[in-house]
Amino acid sequence: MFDEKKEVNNIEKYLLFELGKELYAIELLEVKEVITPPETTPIPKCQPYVCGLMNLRGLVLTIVDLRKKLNITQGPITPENAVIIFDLKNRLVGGVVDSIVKVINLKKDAIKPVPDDNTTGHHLKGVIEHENTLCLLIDANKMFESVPQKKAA
Amino acid sequence: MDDLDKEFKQDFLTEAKELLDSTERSFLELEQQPDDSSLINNIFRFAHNLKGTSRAVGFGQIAELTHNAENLLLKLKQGEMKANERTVNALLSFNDKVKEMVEGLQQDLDKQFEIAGLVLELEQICSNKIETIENETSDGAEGTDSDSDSPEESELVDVAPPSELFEEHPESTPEASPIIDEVQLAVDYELAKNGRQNFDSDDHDFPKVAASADLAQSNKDDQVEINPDALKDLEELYGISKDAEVTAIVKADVKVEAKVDAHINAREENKILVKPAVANESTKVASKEPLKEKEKEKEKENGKEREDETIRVSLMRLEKLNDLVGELVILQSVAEQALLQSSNSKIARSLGKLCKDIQDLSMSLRMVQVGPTFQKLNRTVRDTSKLLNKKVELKIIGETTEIDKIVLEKLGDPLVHIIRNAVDHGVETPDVRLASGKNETGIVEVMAFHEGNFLVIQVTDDGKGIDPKKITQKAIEKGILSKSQTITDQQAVELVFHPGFSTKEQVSEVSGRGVGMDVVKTNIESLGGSVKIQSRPGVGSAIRMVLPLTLAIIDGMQVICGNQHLIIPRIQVHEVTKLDPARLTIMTGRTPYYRLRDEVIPVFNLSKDFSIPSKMEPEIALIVRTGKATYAVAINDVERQQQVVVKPPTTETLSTKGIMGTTILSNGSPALILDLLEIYKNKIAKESISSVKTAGAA
Repeated sequence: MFDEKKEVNNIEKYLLFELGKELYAIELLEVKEVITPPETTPIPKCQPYVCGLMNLRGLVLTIVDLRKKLNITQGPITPENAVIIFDLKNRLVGGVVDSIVKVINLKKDAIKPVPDDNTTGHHLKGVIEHENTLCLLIDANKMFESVPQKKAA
Repeated sequence: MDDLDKEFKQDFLTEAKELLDSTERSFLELEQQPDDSSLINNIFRFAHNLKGTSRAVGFGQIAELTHNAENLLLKLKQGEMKANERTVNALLSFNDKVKEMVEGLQQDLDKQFEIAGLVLELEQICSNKIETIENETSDGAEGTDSDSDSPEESELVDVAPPSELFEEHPESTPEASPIIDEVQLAVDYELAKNGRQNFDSDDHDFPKVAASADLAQSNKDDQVEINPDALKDLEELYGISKDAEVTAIVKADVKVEAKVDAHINAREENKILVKPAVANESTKVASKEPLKEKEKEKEKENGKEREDETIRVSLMRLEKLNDLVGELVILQSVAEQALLQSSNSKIARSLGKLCKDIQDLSMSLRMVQVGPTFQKLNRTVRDTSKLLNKKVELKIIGETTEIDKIVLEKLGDPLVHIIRNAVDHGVETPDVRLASGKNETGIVEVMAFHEGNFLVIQVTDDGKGIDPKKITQKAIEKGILSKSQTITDQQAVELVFHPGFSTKEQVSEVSGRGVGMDVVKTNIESLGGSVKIQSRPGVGSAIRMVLPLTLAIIDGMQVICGNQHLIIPRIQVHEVTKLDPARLTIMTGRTPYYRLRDEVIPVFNLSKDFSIPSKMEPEIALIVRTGKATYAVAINDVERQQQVVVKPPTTETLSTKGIMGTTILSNGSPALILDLLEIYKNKIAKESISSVKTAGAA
């Protein structure tokens, strides 16, 4: 039953954003909101890509610089940057990106699998073709899941 | 469908868990008052409910186990057996087992358990009794078979007629008592064997018979077969009516009795049998009276409960509510600033008051009474004292004191440790106690009360206390202290909290592995509380635990360290002092020392130790005193003290040791709550090793 439903409206929305000059995408359902970079309270003894804590209307959440986390660029955060608040399975977390591009509608089967070349991270869900360029679809849960594991190791 | 089924099961488990706590208490009371029939009836009703419900929701194993326990309880109920230590032990282990099963099932609804051993034991206890019946009745009977239907049938005998019938004939009890048991047994036997009773209903000396004369008369010379199913119905009817109003009980009693009498075959031959049988029932009636009173009281209580109805709410939703209220309060403080500027101070004040009320209320929702947790200690005291052949009484004071549910949950284990220690190390054996002029029975007292924003739990015993000399000696032997060190008696007593410390010569089954008190201290401190001990040799010891009422709000000290505002739990800071450079000794390669009055303590720089960039030299020292060490933590400034709403640490902060949680300051920016004890735990271990080494070298 549920499968049929999905067949009928298998069009989903994706948010495209830029990290450095690279284009990335995320399922819109995993995005709670997009904000301008907030003031953060630094967290001592944390990974360098963790910017700090912010107060999102009473909720304390961590802001992570995705450009640093994914080893793309190392630049400072400017007011032109944006912060995506990711709505993960059991928590919220903010990710700094260079800019938001747009929201697109896409059929699920238009997503191609990630080429298996042993270099891509496990946090990628697939590849989307958008206006003749390829962009990588990120699995937000997996991407942030790896944070504590890395630190523990 | 499946979900509904699961929901039923989970509901059943939650309820069963609560019931099990109260039955454990009842079992313990039963040991004290083996003749209290209302107690037995209560337990029996519970067991019966448990059996029925667990079978209905599909927990066959619980039902099977409970069925066996029920058989045993039935024997107790009928007075066939007396509650002794063995039966209570068996019942307690039954209680434990079911509790274990319930807890297991809450995790995994299809879990299977090993119950054969306990079932066997319960059966054995039951059948032991049946053997005795055999022996006692063997002269008059042609062999007995312990038929499984007998419990239900013997239920008949338990049916007591309305009490008023007997009140005029109290004298019948003493006369008849010597043969009561025999008759009772004979009756049981007859019932079990033949399914009928031979009674003389024409004996008008006895009111029971008189009351039922009409019925019995009509049945005269008739043999009535007792139908087991009908009896079961009776039993149920009887059980249900007890739950209902007292008047209904009386009615049911009359009904049941009528039916019983209908089964009575009127024959002239058995006069002796009837006499004591009736007498026996009158004794039962006597003990039944208080039950009815209790039932009435209960009814009144139920009435009250109905006035203030309760609903079950998941803790998660309460936490969500608290979060939201926390947000509201923060928003309110921002709004207040704006309103005050626009000279709308009245609105600002009302809003503030309303928010405070809402916050107080939402916090109070998480509060539960300490009573049930304290009651569980009865069991600990019983088991421990039995094992050690000591006589100990547990006194509980302040059962209605309320505390955050989560704090209370984490308090259970430390309390058990402390109580065990009090019974094992504190209270002396009866002969020693008598020799030192004390009452044979030792008293362990648990008391809970509020003190400001804290809950104090105090455990006192009137035992032998802690001998500071002995403990110092032991500490030197274990290398915890060096011989040259002199400590006060109080410091010596506090050595019991030192990890790896135990004065007991032999490691006993109960306590004495030297982990107990250390774990207690760690657990209490992890709750943001503190533990203190006081002891006077020969008089007793007292352990005092001070706990925050809730984990959701703590008394915090807002400090500045480098460029950051941080919150430190107030309870961790013993005092605040200005760092006087003249008293600071800086040594290369070592932690600097500071002279605080007559003490020399290490000074740690928080900005260095916690990697907080700082341009200024620290000016203020927070003095931290733990059971192991005293040290100063240097910071830049103390801003204020305030209550802060504790929010959980975010995933990214989890890996950093020493971050207890996060909060939002009044200016709206997030801040970290630091656990100084955690940050300096390792440093202190190193410091004390080096100081012991230097002391040893000297």
